[in-house]
Amino acid sequence: MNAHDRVDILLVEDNSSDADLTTRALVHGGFRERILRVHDGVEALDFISGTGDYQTRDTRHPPKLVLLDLKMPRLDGFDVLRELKADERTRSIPVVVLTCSNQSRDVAESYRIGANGYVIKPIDFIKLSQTVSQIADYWLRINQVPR
Amino acid sequence: MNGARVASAALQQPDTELDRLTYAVSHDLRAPVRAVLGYTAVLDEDYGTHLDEEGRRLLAIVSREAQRTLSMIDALLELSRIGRYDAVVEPLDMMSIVHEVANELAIVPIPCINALPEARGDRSLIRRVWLEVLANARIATRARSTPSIIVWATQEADRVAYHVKDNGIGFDMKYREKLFAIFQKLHHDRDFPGLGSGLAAVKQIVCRHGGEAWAEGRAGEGATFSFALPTRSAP
Amino acid sequence: MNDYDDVDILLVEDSDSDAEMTQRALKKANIVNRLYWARDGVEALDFIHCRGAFVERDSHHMPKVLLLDLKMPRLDGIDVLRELKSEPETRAIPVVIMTSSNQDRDIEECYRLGVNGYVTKPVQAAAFSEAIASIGLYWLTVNEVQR
Repeated sequence: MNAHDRVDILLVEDNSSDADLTTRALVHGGFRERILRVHDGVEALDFISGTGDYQTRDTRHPPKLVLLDLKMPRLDGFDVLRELKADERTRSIPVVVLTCSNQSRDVAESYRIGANGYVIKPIDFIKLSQTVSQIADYWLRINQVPR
Repeated sequence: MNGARVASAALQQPDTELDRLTYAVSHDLRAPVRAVLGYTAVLDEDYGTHLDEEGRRLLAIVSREAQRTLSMIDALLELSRIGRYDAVVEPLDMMSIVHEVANELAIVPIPCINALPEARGDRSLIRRVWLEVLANARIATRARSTPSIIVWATQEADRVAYHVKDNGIGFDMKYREKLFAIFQKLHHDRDFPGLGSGLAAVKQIVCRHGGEAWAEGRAGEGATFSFALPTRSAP
Repeated sequence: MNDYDDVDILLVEDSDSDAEMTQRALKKANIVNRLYWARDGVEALDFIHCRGAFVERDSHHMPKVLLLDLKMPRLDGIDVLRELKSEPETRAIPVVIMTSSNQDRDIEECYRLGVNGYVTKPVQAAAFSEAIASIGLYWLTVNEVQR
């Protein structure tokens, strides 16, 4: 078993300062869950399916929550979402799109593909902290996934 | 993994229809209990200050009894789960399980007096058996100045029997039929706290393994709880 | 204005006491909301589809979240979920199952059908209130819906 086996939150975010802020917001909110940040869709899918760089990962324990950015190089958020929701084995992993985009077509497309939720990242850190805390509180403490 | 995940072949399936019924009933009973707990909390929050001391006492009783109902429902649900649980049959190091459980219960010194032979069964179910029996022994001896709990095993033709003897409050053999029945207790709560569901679980688990559970005791002197498991896995 | 206009939460629940506790918990958490309580699946679908008693409801306005119980008379929660998630016009409405059941097979089936979230109703009053508060905060104030 290695450090990647029990990740609670998979943060898929290509922008490092955004990733850092989100992580800080979670810690600030008192969430001790294990967070892994990946830089793009390819890494995200490799992580979930235990391929590529994550070949040795025990895939029996999926993350409790995936926070997914939309605009990323290589594979973008929609591609990741599509793959995760198309596969029965990963369909039940909660994926919340966490993005700067407030475009209604992005919201519509996300839900069409099967996103569990969609959140627009506030620019202000205090507001971001609060938002991230509320996301974490619901998805990590209250929401249930199949065992 | 050297165990085999078999739902029915290696371990007997107990009365699964009864288990399903128990599960359904327990599950549905939780809803009205939730309502009682919810409304007593509301009463307390909104009208607590309007009640006198006696009123608050009465409300506390309602709440406490609802909590107790909940605990009993949970115990029933748990018991029904034993029958539906997908058991894994494998060789079990009984010594290590007893050590683990004794540590968890803070029973010191570890009470084995001879090497316990290996058994075949589901580790988490058998661990539960040890937990219940040793926990009972601990409660029974809690008022003793020199509590004593000892564990040993005896080999029989086609089974191994494990025994736990304590010098605690014991029980009257006249009522031994009730021992392994759910919620039936042989002592008042003040002498032996608990719902009276632990031994029912022991019996379910042991029977599921094709074995037997029994006990002997003397009121005021102590008791010996035993369970035997067949040495061959298939019934 | 009817009590079914501009509804934020559609609560689909056959138990009077659970419905009352839910509304109370939202109020206690200061979550401003317009809640409509449908007593079963038939009423819920009529509401969403603006038919029957809800023929005058504005079909362009969908609730921000549907809190859906599973075991109900007439149409049960699974059937409502299946119908909502299979139609493109209603697929994007966030549905959160809120039920006494914590059975794996119910949880799995709901995620398979595309449920957004699943919560088992806590029996203890305080935990129930907290769960509702968390649900309300996330789904009503943080989560973005399709317009």
